[in-house]
Amino acid sequence: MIPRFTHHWPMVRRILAGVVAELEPGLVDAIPPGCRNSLRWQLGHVVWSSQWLLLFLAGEATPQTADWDRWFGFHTAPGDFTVDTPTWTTLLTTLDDATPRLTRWLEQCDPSAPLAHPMVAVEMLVEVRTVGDAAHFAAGHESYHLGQINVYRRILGA
Amino acid sequence: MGFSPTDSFLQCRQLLGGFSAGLDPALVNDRPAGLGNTLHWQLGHVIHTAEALILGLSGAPLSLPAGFGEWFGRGTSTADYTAATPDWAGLLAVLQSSTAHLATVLPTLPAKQALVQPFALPGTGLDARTVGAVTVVATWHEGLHFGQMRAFPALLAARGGS
Repeated sequence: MIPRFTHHWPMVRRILAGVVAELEPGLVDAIPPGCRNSLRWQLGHVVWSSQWLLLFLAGEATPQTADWDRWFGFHTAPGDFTVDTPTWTTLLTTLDDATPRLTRWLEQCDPSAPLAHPMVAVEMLVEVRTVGDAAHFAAGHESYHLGQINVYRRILGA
Repeated sequence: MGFSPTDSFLQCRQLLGGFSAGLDPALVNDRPAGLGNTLHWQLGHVIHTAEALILGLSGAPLSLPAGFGEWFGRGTSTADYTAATPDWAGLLAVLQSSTAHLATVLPTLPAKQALVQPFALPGTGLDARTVGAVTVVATWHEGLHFGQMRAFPALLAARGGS
């Protein structure tokens, strides 16, 4: 097995999908003491950010409406939710639907292709300028949130 | 950035290193309520795992002090510490030297090179047979623990440690 740049993100997604499928739905809106977010926000953010990082930055259309940016974008929190925010069950379904589509996108794209919307914050060590950069960043970002989900799960007993 | 597993690993390590260096040393030995370990253990575990996975399974030399695996290997906890376990400042120094070692050795290991000992983590479907594949696994592991560590300061501030 020779890992291309496409290998990393699907591996992380497979592990994350297995973890969230086992969480207790009755606890996904609880916020651990001291934290900003809930498990539902964490999952929504993962769903939103993977499409934003892999599709939007490359200039591709994403199926997410602007509401998703307000519910699950960077620096949002459950206080930004509205009655229309997807339920836990809907988020699980959306995650499952998005995974094969994003995997196919990664398999056919050119890692050196420049992004339509590069994401650069040098002071934060973030330099995402190409499709390959975005794939790496998406995998690392998703691993990071899986770590947070694991902590929330243990604190909440979910 | 480049697109190789090495690039991805070193980028993640750079972010983790910056975060760890900025932590308040007074917090690192506290356990958030409900969790079994500390920021100190988490960092030691990440340092140990990266070298054990990437270098150990490739047959390349490790740079870690003797005892690291007994203190920070999978399934260990702070109860396994001894008088020789490095304190936080010592651990940050090991992080720096280990990162420099990995940054030197990794580019000399071709991604396609077969591991001396293939890797498999039962129950997860994770496996690796090449240097590149195990570097991807190590990067996932590093990101996972980085996410956990980032949650600790807020949890400790809210509940106090133990």
